[in-house]
Amino acid sequence: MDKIVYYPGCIAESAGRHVHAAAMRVFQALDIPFDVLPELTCCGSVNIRDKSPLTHLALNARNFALVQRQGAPLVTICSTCLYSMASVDAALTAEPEMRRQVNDFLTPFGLRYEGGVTLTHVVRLLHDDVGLTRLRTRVKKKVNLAIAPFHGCHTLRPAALHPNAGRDDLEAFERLIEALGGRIADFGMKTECCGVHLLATNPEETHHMVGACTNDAAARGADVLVTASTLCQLALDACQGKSRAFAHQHLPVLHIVQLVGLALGLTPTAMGLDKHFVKPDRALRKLYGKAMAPAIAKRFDLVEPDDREPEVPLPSTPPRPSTLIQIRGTRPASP
Amino acid sequence: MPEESPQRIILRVLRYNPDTDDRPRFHDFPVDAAPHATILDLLHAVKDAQDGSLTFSRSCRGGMCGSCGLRVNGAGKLACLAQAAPEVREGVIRLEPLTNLRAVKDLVVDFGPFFEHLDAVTPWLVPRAPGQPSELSRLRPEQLRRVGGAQNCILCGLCFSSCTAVTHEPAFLGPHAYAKAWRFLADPRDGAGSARLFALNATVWSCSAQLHCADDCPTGVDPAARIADARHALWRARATRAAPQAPKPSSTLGLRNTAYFYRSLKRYGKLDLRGYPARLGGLKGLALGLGTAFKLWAKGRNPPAAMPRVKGWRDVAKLMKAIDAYEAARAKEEAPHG
Repeated sequence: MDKIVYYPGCIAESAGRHVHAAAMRVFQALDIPFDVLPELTCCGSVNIRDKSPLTHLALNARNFALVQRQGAPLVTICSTCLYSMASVDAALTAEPEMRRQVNDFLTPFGLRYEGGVTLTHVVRLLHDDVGLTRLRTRVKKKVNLAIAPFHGCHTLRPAALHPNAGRDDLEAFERLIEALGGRIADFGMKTECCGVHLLATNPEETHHMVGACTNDAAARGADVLVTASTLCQLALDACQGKSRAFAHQHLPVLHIVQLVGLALGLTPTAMGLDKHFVKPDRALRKLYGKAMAPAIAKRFDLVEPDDREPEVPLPSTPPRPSTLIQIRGTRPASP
Repeated sequence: MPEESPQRIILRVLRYNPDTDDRPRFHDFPVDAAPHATILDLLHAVKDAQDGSLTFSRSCRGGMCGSCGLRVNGAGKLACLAQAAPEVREGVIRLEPLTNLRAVKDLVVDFGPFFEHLDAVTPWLVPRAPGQPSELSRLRPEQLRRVGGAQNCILCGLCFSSCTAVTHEPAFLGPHAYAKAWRFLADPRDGAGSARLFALNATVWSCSAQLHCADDCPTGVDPAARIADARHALWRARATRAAPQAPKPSSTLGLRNTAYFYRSLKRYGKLDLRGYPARLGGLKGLALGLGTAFKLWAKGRNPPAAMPRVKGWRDVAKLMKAIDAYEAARAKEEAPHG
């Protein structure tokens, strides 16, 4: 596999910056060359189509045409971005007349999209292209915690956009967590909604949904909850305990790239765990005990105050891709 | 092909008798499942041979009446369409009644709230004029294409059951109601028009796009897509009608959010999170937004003070303006209900 086009999504570039940085560090650590294309726009989420479905199609088709020029697959850490893009690609692939109309709008800008872009979720990149066998050999610190796998909505639905009605994706996410040393704390709400898309218009509803999901995970004995999407990570972390109907579980919420980073031996601070609303101290204490480096342990309140080491800075631009080992692997054959 | 023998499985049913039980309890029924038995076949087998008091709804046994909805291993299905063999998990199939509705007995639930919410969208055709000539009632296939799958609803309740927006937002009518509303909104014969559409504005924005309804619907209604259609229609109604009763973005968070998102993409190519969602307005939003903004700032996760634009943002803005102009021209051409 050659380099990837890493598509962080709008949340990752602002309120989810800690996850964005973690993802880039993980790509570096796994020797995956990546580029972030500054021309790519927002995917439109589930909102732009309310105003104009044609705009939703055209913006994404423009993105696809630009990505195809790189000759690299697009990899995203946000499930809604993947859903938005995949639904546009499916519509444009299935309807030539719609594609012609969209291309009429793109032609003045020297762009054209005729299908065939590769859209990948970071979970599938890690599971299929890096591969669990290879990943296991790179694990330096087994994340030996009870981990509640939160798939959310757009990793699995709609069935039409996922092979085998999402079962493959469900398996991939949970086997990935296990390959990192995690113990799956299965819970019924793992495929339910976190409500993040209501944060602007009906936040109480989001709070209830977050409460319902985190309460269920905590009841199953989870030490941490791990999500496949930046949006879910934002809501489940920021809105815990805000619903009067559900008790605050203080359940740390990590994005899968943060978990991967910890397993690869990167520090919790490098993975941005000090930037969470729900502090992960208890879980980190369980994971590392006194084995953490003093500076990191101090930040997470595990040892007595000591001399501080300088903080690892968050990169603001992606690191220059270097001549690194190419990741070989194959995507699963289409059903 | 050799005859497949029946498979002995456990049917684990959540039973509840309001006359005798303080709460629902699982009960195991061992049953021999023929190779292509449906869940309904097994329920009948248990009722016939083991316990006549087992209570469940059913009628057509052919996927048409919508009576036999229940949860099979947690997922909403029609009992008559769900094959038993693929549902066996370690020898057990777990059956529970639909959620979001009160269990009356065993697998039967009270559909009262489901139908009340449906009534709220005026679920019948309002003729354009009294006694309109029959010629106006004839439609060409392409005219009904807009209605799409919304015609197919059999009111089975699977979408209502799987939707956590229904669970957590009492005002949310349910995917079935918005799908039914769209069935008439898109029908050229319907004369209820704007009143029908504007009535949705208060609650349709509470859909979180979780898409259970899209997957669980057995007849291809795709309520999630119909909700998106209704939201788009609400936006267009606000854009093309000067009618005072049309929902204005200044008064509806849903429309305001849509307008904000669109403006943000036109200006920057990305979603501008500075002050969002507090900037959508309202004192409550402001308070929520300021609190969150402060917390984000304290953790170094606040959006940058100056919002960076995507490279080539001028082209993006031109593209969006070109589509704007095209859609405005189309809207002028189309009949009001077209």
